[in-house]
Amino acid sequence: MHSLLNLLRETGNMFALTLDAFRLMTKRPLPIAEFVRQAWFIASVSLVPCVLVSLSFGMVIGLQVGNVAAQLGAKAQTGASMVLAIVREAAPITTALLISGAGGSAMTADLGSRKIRDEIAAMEVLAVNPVHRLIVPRIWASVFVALLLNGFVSVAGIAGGFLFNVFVQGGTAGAFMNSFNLLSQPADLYFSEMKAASFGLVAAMVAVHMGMTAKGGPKGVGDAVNKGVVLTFMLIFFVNIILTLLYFQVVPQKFA
Amino acid sequence: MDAVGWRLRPAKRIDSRLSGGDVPEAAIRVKHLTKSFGPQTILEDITMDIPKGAITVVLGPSGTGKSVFLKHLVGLLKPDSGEVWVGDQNVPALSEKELYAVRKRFGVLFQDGALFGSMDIYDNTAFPLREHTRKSDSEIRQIVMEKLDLVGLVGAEKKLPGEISGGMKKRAGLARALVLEPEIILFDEPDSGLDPVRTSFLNELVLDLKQQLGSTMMIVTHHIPSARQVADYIGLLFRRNLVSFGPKEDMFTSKDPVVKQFLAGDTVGPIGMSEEKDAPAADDEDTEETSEIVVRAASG
Repeated sequence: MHSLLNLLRETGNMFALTLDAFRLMTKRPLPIAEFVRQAWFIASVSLVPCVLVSLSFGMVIGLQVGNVAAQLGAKAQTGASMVLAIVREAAPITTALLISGAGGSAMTADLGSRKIRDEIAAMEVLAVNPVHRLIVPRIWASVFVALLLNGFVSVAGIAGGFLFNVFVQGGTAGAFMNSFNLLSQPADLYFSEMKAASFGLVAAMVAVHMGMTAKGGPKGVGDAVNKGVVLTFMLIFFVNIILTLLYFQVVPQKFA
Repeated sequence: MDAVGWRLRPAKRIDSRLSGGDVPEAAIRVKHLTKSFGPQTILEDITMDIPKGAITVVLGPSGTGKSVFLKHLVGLLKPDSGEVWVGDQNVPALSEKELYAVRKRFGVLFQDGALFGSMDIYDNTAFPLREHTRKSDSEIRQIVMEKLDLVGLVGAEKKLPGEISGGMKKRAGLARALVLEPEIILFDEPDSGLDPVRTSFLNELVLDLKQQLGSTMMIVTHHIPSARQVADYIGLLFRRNLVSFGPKEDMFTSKDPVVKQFLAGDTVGPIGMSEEKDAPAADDEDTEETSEIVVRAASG
């Protein structure tokens, strides 16, 4: 019971902090310099791992689907499956997991160590709102980078699948490209971007909350990072189910 | 209630002048301040006036909530009940905007300086000026260098907080706290981790600042020589209460056992070695109960 209350309290605090950040989003002066710094930082730590993960993921999907499709005589349709797997699902999730794992964990560690060194309190006492100065730019940066990175990761994933299909499994480039339109539609891309933005928001929400509530010295910061990453992963998969269910309700499917 | 028999009274005033006719004007009025963290009561019914333009030293054994008390004055913590009046504003009841406005009247020196790790000493010191004034870069430079000179840090302004010693961090934190020439300056253990010579220098600096700026200052510490050197008024926190509060001379001649023991640094008296004995939440009844359980467990 006690731990349930704690969980609810912590969730409430996290949403309160996020709402606070939304409220201060347009407050001037806009913390643009910090936003650019954070966006650059997140992008720089997540870009390469994101591309590598999605490249290999694309290859695996290509391999799995390609084999089954070949047996059914539908080898030419592998490209279609790539769009479903990569654009709709793998890209936003990969993006969010790496933004959280690489960017979010650093964010938590940074804010957490500022918190335990009393820097956050000092900022408040100097009459500067730390939510406006530190949290707002981080949330913006995480969402923004998630949007951009998602596109990049989609391309890399599909490229992985393409290379595998064409050069290893002996498919044809034309058929791969041609089958793209079989199942996919522009709404897939929009929805994928929406997912990525939501996941980016979740990753940032958790990361900043964990950082701002870190306590108990350096060990506390380590615990906060650990808890933050695990919680983000769970939340992202949960939010993903909701968004995917929503997607099938909202977007009319081909062949449906 | 108390095995030793010391009954702790809330804010017993030693000096009749304080409660009588010659009452100094208060910069901050704390009324019935109570704060708990979970089941632990840290401060209970604290009432005190911090006199304007004077140096008030709040003493107390480690872990009696001195820093917690200080944080209430600037609204970093909200009391469970009670009021903190700065001028005509009650800090816990202020809106966010009003609170930030009130905070501009304060300068706070945190325990280890609380410098921004990503900025060098110069930028740390210039931070409040850049945030809250429209001064030009050259004006800012002049003020910052003047304050850094005051704390003896000229030449170190390009260093990052990670590259300097604890004492230097503390002095840089002081320079940053002074840069807006605040009406009220709060010091959280300014002498912890400083050598005796630097502590004396710091104390002299505090006295100079009082002369120059006429600011109200409150120093939280457990360093008695500092209190002796700089205090106009002394308050003593012990077991979540303000045991005594009054002018320095009266405190140093006080007959109150807690005050006497603490100011003399004596081992004999109501203040014990273990945190449990004078920890804020540990009631004697609780302790007895726990030890009884332990005894039963051992014999069973």
